[in-house]
Amino acid sequence: MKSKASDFVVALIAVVFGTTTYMMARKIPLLMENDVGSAFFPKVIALSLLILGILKFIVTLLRKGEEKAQEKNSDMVNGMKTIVLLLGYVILFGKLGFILSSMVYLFLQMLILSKKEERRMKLFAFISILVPIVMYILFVFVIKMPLPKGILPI
Amino acid sequence: MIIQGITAILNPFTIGLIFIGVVIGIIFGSIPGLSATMALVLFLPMSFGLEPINGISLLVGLYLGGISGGLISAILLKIPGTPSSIATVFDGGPLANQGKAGYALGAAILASFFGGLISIFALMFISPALAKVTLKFTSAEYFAIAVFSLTIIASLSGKSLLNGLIAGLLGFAISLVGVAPVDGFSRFTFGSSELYARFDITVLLIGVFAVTEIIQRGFYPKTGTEQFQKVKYDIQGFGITFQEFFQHWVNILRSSLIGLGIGILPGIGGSTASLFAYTAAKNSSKYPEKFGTGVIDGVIASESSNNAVIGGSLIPLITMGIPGNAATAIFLGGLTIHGIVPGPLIFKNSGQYMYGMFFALILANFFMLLAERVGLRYFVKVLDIPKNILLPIVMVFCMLGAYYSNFRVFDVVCVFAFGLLGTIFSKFAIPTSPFIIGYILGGIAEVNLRQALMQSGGNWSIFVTRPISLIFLLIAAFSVVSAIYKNMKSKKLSC
Repeated sequence: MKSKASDFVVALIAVVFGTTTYMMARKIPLLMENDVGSAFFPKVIALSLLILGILKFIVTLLRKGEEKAQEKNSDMVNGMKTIVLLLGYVILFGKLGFILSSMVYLFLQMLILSKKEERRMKLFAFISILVPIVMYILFVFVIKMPLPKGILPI
Repeated sequence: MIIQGITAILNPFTIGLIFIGVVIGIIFGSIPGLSATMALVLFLPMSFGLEPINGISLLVGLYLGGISGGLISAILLKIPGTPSSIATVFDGGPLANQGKAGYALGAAILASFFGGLISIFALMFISPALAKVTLKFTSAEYFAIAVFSLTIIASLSGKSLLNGLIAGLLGFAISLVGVAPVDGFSRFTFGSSELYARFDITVLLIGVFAVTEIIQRGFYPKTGTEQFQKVKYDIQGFGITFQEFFQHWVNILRSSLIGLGIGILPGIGGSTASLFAYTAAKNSSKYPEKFGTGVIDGVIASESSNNAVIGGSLIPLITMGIPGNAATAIFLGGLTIHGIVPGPLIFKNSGQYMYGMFFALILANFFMLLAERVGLRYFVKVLDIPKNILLPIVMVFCMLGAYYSNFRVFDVVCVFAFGLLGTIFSKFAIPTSPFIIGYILGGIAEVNLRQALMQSGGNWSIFVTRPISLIFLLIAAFSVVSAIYKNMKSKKLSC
């Protein structure tokens, strides 16, 4: 998406983020002599963001002609599903443990990313079960780096 | 002693250890989230139990393999396997998209080999002299190097310079979260103790590169690599002819020297070296505008410099006992446990081990070339796996890597958050590379600026009165001005 609306949003992000950062940075005290202090860089960055944001706003406003927003064929449903699934995965990663959460994630993610005719359920199930178990054995028992166990006893 | 060192290596067991070390290192390097450092940590206890020269050989193999493995995922999956390979993605990714993955991989492997070789020779023959030069580098020079490397943001911004700059600043802002350098004040932590430690670069990389990629895949099912998936990878030899490769000899030499130099300086690291070399290659190129769209020069610059860091980083370690990065710090442990004390007397006291180590490095470099050359035709096969199956599996590996970066679930959640951020960036045409660069170099810039100012008693002129610092800053200023000028001239300053 490259249109005026999108550019205004970028300008807005920069201005809002810059302003908030500046407000927060003002509370950082100067602790040492001869030091510019821990507030210096945050302030410089915040002000630069603010200036660039305003510049972006002006440039976008002055730009003539609205290009057609070239939205690619986006699949909102599948995109949102992926985001929700990933959120679920990272939440359950610690609670259910690596093996179970990864199995569920792998299977559902492969389903989401596949078109109807590409759905090979048996293969997906096989991969979803095999991959986390093999990885767990390899990393936890062979290499000896622990992973969240979760509710499984091993 | 030289002969003694070489003969100590030349037995099947030691050679085998080096080879195994290289292969394991490559595997660790190629998986995002697992790093050379991690491979070294894991095998350090094992090296204690071995004969000194065997232990050192194993560590050498792991270190070299670990740095070299990152290029594989950087090119094939557009996810840098290690932070050192970030700049490889800029041109390696587009090349893979055009169906030239084998070509990019071949060039990257050869570049790694020569970069490594040049730095190993520097380590062998001129390390004491080089170590002296580095003592001239103070915080002011470090700051200047960071500023110079930051100018690459201008050229990686794609269509919109303003968006690139905003992205860079946002990355810089993210680097501020946590305990501040110098005075230790905790900034922007919102009272959360998990945020005290700064975000790990691995977490940022996995989030912005890998998670964003898979979310994009959900939104846009048939884009990117898919269109080129059926391209036949016709790989003969290295995928690139030696003749073509060696036309880039200036680039290889310059990038290797940059890698060597950055490697010697403690605390900067391979990611800055590859960004620096990439910037330098672009600035001196006849077609700078093509960088980032898939020119082999970018891949060569990045990969020869990050492997040259290996020899470079061992120089201060051996001559002064200063480890410049986490990997060499572990290396130091491996040396001292065997009674090898780094310092000016190391060649006198433990000469045979040192020459043994040099020889092991050279062997490891050849093994790396061999293993990746043989593996080349299999690596590209990864692209034949349908994306709907490959990407979820890569994602699971990434989450594992995120967890291993600090052994806490919090980082796994952060990876998701950064993935979401990357998605928002992509939605509004904000480039992500400047964001990562801002993050890496921002931290280095801040700590060194503040240290330099404390050293000078708050006098800002320290940056222009020290010659090396001045030169870097002048080149940086020049490249910014010329970038803006070119931009204005072509009237493409379309924000």
